[in-house]
Amino acid sequence: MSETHTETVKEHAPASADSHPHGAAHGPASPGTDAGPGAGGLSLPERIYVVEVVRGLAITLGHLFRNLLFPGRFRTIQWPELPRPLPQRFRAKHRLNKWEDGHTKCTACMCCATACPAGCITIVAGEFSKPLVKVDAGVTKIIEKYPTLYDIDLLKCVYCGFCVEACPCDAIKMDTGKFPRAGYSREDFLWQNRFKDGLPTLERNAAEA
Amino acid sequence: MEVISSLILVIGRPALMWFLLLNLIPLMIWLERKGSAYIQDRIGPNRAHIGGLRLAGMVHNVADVVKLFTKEDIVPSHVSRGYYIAAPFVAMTVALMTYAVIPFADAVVIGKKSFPMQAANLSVGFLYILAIASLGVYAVVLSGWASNNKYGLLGGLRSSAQLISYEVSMGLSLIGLVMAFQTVELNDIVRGQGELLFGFLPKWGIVIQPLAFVLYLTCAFAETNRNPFDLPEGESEIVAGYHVEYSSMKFALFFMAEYVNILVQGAIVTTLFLGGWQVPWLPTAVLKRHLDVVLPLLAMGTTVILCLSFVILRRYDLANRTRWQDARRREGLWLSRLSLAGALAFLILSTVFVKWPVDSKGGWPSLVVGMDRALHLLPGGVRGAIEQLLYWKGWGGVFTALVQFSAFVTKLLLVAWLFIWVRWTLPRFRYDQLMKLGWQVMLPLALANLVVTGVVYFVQG
Repeated sequence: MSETHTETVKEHAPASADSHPHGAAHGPASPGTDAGPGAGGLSLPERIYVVEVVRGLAITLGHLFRNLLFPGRFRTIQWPELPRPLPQRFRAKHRLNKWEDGHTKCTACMCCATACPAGCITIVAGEFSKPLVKVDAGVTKIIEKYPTLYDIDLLKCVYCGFCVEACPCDAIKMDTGKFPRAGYSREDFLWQNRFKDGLPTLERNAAEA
Repeated sequence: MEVISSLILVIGRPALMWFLLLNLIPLMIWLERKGSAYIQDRIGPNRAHIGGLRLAGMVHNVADVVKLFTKEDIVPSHVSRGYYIAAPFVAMTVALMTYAVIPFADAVVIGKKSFPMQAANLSVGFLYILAIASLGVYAVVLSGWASNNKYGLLGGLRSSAQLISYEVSMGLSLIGLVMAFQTVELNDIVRGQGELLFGFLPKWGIVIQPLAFVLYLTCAFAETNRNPFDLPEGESEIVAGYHVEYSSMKFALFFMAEYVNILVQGAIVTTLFLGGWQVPWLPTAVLKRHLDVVLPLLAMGTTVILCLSFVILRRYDLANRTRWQDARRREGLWLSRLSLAGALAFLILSTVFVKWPVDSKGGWPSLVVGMDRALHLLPGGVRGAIEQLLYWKGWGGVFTALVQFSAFVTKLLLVAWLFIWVRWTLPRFRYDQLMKLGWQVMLPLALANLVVTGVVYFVQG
């Protein structure tokens, strides 16, 4: 392979315009310059070319037999049958965090939707019929709002994780380890959540593993 | 019996040729895909499967056929319709025609008749091959011109210039062989290659004309538009060259013609330079006399090969067993068992061949215990027919031809593999390099080879 590159370079060089890459039909312009690449020429076996062809064939055959005899050496990952190990902080598909009693932690503050550079988050806020009282790390919280609708269009999402950082309530996470793969319609990639009084009534999963 | 065997031979010879050729196409495509993958440290096709059976990607060919047959057959509005449709047919027809004169075994003598094992026994031999091979350029030029597409036209132009340039050295490199063997008939050339040089070296074309072999092989690469010379379809420059406007089965015909061309060139190289159907050191008469040794040895060899493939498949099975959750996970297991069973079958077959001296009377019925007794239970007419078949004098000739045929196919596949191997090793030439090589290196070398050969044979008388 590398010999060919050398050839190409040499052919473009004006200093040795008369040299021939294949065969020994013509010598280089001045005798004695065919010592090596430094002299701008190719060595004799390189110029005969057939020798180099045989060397190249030996290399490819070596690869062939190595792979034939040791099929365990392939680096290919058989996805999706074998999942690829994900990094610990991989930003995967989103998840809405819950309190222990199942109420969503989201308070429909719109911080995530505001932070989102792609504008893929749709939130419709609703009001609890009776405010939720929660004690979090010793602080008592009275929660009045929840999202009746929390949708993320995964085709628009760029998986930047800004929504996670913007969330003041630790409600949205990207730690599911899943990511959308393939779907047959745009709706397949719409991650839909519906809530009534802070409790999920519907979670339609987007196309995923 | 005579009539039937003649009929079988007359119809069978071209049929065998076509069967071999058309069935080797998927094998070649598979070799290309899997071979290229392994050369490049990839896995290659391994998804399409029928009931879990993927056969290392062979099943992808079935998927391809289904795809190509069901695809919309588009004839663009801007093409020259008649020529556009004719071109792929010309490509395939010409590719298949060349095979007619290739001998795939020595003439089989049955009774007093001799049956040359060629589809057509032409006395002009390889002149026919050269003539038909040069027709192949028409397919490329026609498709390139009729497509009314600049890439197609460039591909057609490149191809015609290339083919015409390399045909000169191609023809010249073969003249030396004609001088050596004093004939242009292919079967005679192959017979000539059965002789020994210095008492031990088979007088193959590659031995007496090594330079011509290298030259012819290079020209064959150029003629088949294969890699170092695949500028007519150079996909990085002119998309797909001459077949850029073709879809569906018309494209498939070009695709198949490429592989048939490889097989044809492989067959020509085999016939002219690698001894054709000759089993080395075993001329036909010797082979026929020692069939009781050769056949068991061949069966044993097959056993060894199947055992090796068992080892490979076993490793494959172990590597894949935990990988798949569907029908595919059992594949390695079944295939390794199958190869082991095949090895066993051939081992038994080798003992059978030892007990069956094929052209003398009396071997077969003792083959299986109780077989002659079972034969006596049959009604007289049927038994007579079966016995006539078993004791038929022609078996020796048939089995000799089969051994020679397998020798031929082995060599053919090795040369065809060389085409694939080279494709995935060498980078493509530039067009000026191609022309320089063709006219300034190959042509002088071919002429020099011709002169030297002529002088040598003139001096020898």
